Amino acid sequence: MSPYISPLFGLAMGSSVLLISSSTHWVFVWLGLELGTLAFIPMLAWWHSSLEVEATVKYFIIQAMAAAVFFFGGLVMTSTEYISGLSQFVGNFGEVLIMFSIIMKLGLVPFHYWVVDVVQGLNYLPGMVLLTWQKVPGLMVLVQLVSMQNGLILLIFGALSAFWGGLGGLGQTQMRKLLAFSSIAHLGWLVSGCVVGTMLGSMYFILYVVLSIPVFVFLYILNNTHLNQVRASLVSNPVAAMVVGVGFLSLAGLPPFMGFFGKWLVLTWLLNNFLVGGAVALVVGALVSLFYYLRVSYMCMVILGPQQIMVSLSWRKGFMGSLLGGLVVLNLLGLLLVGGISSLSK
Amino acid sequence: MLIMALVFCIALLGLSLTQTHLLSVLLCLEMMMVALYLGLGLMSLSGLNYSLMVALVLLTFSACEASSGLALLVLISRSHGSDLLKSFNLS
Repeated sequence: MSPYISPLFGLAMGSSVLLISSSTHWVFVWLGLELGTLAFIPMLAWWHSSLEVEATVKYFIIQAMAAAVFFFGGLVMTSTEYISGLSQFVGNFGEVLIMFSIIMKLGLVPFHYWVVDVVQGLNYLPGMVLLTWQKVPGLMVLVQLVSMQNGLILLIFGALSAFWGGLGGLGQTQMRKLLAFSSIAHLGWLVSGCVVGTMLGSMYFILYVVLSIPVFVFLYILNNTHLNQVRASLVSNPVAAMVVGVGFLSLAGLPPFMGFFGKWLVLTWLLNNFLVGGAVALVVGALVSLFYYLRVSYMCMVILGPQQIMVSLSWRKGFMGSLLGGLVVLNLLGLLLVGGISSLSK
Repeated sequence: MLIMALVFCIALLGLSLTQTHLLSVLLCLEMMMVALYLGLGLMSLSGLNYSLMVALVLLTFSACEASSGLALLVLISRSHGSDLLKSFNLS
């Protein structure tokens, strides 16, 4: 594909978010969702390798199907207003359909199987866009759908999602599949956060984006797709390996890092709203997923590999080394944030 | 409206259960879209005055979707040799 056309698709992806955030009718929300999906399709199949094309086809089918279900739900919802006597048969079935289609678009737990397959086929950078930016439109719709009876369903799905994201990644040795399961688990936390507060959900989302982008970028730089290759990365590019390792610890939500801040905030809000069951389920899910996070960061930061270092290391000199060091320090800022916020709340 | 819902559900079922060709999956998607178009036409009869304009928007976007689906069909038959869903990696 010609690279000159890509700003057009980027513009369409950006304007889809604007369209959704400024729309007052579900037709325009549907339009924005479709626009975002269709503009993202050419970026997924950028390099035309067979795995990428396959992943793109899977993504396209799921998203088109979810969009059609969204439109159907909207049509049912509108027709209950205009056709008298229909609402006692249908109830709020239209809203439920819309919610399920958004869950399918996001990849929350009952419809999460496509995320792992699609991310495994993609390169790291399109995968990063898929797991971060492409969630914004769906989340914006989901935030508006949260009412009391929807909220309970979303909380259950979120807790299941956090649990399944941990369980599914236990036996995985492919890095991209691990990142996909990690994204499913974080989506569970995120949706539970959205149920208790919109600001909380968006803050958790921003934290997830900030934490996962360095991991994706430096795994792309290291060009590692398998856990065995990660083991050799501390010798070949130590600072990138350190960033990936610290990033995984931070995604796991261990206390000195930034990821802990988001998890701590979600737990505090859930407990303030007396949703103890959801909080316990989320924590158990995070505990299960801690296993594979710790395994990856152990591979990245502790094991040095069999060979001695005979050359002078390239990362010791130059600007990039200090920049990467700064990213590690940025992760450590979470401790300060936790201290500051907790002292403010007293 | 009941017929429209029935057609939509049949198409959704067909899309989920198709196991041979990618082309039939795309056809089921189009069938869903046509069912929605039918629903919008019926809505205009029962007093929803903007539904014909929405039907135009729906037609435009379903055409876009169909064309990108066919482009993906061409891509997959170039890289895999056929459009059979059996050749996919459905793990």
